[in-house]
Amino acid sequence: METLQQLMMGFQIAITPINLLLCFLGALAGTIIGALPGIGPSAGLAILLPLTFSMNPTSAMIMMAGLYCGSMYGGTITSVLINVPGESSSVMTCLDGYQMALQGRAGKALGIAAIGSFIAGTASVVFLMLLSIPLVKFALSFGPPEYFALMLMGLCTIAGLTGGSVLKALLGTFLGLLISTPGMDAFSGLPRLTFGLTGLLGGVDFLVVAVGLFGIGEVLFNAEQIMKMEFVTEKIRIKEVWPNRAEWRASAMPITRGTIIGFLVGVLPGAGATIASFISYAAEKRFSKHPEQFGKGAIEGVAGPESANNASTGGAMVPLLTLGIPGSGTTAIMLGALMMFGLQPGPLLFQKNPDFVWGVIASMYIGNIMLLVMNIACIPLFVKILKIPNALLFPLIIVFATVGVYSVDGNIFDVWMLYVFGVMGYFMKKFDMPPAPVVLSVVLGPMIERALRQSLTMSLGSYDIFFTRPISAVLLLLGLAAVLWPVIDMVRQRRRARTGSR
Amino acid sequence: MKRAEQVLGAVLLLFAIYIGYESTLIETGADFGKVGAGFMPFWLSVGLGITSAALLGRAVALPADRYPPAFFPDRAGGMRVFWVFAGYLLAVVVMKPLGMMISLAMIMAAAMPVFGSRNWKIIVFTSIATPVCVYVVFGLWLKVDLPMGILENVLSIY
Repeated sequence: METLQQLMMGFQIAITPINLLLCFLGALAGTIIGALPGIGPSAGLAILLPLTFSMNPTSAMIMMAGLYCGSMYGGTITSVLINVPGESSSVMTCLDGYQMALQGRAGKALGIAAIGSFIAGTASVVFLMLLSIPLVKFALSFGPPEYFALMLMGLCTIAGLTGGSVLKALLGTFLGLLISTPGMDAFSGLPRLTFGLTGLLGGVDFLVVAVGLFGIGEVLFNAEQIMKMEFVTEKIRIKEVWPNRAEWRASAMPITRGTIIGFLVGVLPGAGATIASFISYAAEKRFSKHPEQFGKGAIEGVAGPESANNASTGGAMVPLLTLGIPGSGTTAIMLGALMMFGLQPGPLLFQKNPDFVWGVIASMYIGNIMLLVMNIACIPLFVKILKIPNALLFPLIIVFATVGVYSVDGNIFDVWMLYVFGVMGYFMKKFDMPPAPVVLSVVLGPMIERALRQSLTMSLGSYDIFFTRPISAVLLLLGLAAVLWPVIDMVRQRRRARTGSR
Repeated sequence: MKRAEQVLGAVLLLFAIYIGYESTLIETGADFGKVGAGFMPFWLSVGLGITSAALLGRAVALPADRYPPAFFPDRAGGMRVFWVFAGYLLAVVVMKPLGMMISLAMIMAAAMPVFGSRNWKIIVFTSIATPVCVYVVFGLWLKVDLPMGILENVLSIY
């Protein structure tokens, strides 16, 4: 009952004309960003973030949440129409979505993706509401050792589950944590690792790192291999988008399973939308009575992964809003933005700023409705927007990134840092190092250090405090398991391959 | 690419050693709850050192056929990246003396041909129109104190 009252209060905030407009603009921008290959949701959010600085925190977060959800919807359009995923979580949609488009069923693929996304997105917000309150009550008992262990577990999970090389993800984590250390020490007031540069006294802004790695790094990487987009030339009519009875029947369970998988995976730090869509696709193939049709235009292969990647957005908001721990690069940027607005994410946010939290949750319901309408009615418009030439798009990203980063503090030193992190982002792409652990570590670094030092002060310098408190010990063990799991899995696969070859 | 990964491992290892050394110059102690400012950077540099040494070791031990053959798949792609790098660097260097407007125009003019635009009229028009839009949105509307450089007396923000 209390939750419903809070939600009603949230709707009163979310339905003000300005917040509705910002939610719409965020959803629209997110759909376009998600659809454009080469710019992910993290890059889009980081580049557009400076535009929100003149807003109040609730309105800014409503716009950001709209953008985050919209980017998950938008990725489908290019996956289906040109076989190029707009962002990584839409990779699986290419497999069957593009085949459906080649068979003249592009409208159906886009339609079921939009409907599945809407159902999953809305259900995930319901789960977010239901899970948040008990989690907040539980988290209120956390002290600095538990927070330290929780954040460490978050970093370990993102390193272990982010995909690719665990070693490189760990390297990124250490680099990110080191990037967060220069500046004035919060405890002693001593400057550290500033190398005589006064610009570093205030530390390295997370926004500079995020925009550099995700935005400028992407642009430089795209300069290397210029992509040409060729669209499926089918004309899409709105009445063709709506699925028929057989398609509904085929898609109902994949949407349900995708929603559950997506939400649960989204809650895990590091796993996120991409892994959710991979798991969902694998699950649908396993549950299907005709798995041989997967990869040849099976509607379940679109419905499941698209539902999963949208459900993960609600899941990812759970640790962000309740514990103040982001689980992905995109939510790390949101967390950084919250702190820039002077809000302290974590369990107390629900008590101190209920209008903010419930306003954002309510706007996610509204955003999903807007996105459903937008993604069914405006597909031809998005296709036209996608035809914006790279020669204009990528230079404009550099310009907006530069002005955006400068406008935060009005300091040219930040532009220099942006250049450095842009170059770093390019090389990270070349070496296949994921940027998300770096950004996450930059955001969490100062919080981890504070929690560590407070814990050691409490225990008079003894590290036992982390192992004698049960929650902290369990979280540390989970973190260790997350890092070791890929290694154990690799050893098991090698053994299996060896016994197979014998 | 194997060689590139060896270089990456070595560079990161040297960086970790340097940061570790710098951190020891700051108070690092963690006795009786007194944790120094250098404590965190020191142990992070140790972690970075271990992981970069592991990366270097792996790049030495693994056969070359486990890596992509070249760092740049084609020469033209490498040149395009170089031009964007160089153009952007030049724009950052001149940002203070010449102002952000001119600097942004330079970015557009340098990057558009790299990404495939060949029509010089469009390049000139976009290179002028973009900074003007930035000036209107960020300078006049959002009141960001943009560095105007040599245009200080021509364009005023307030």
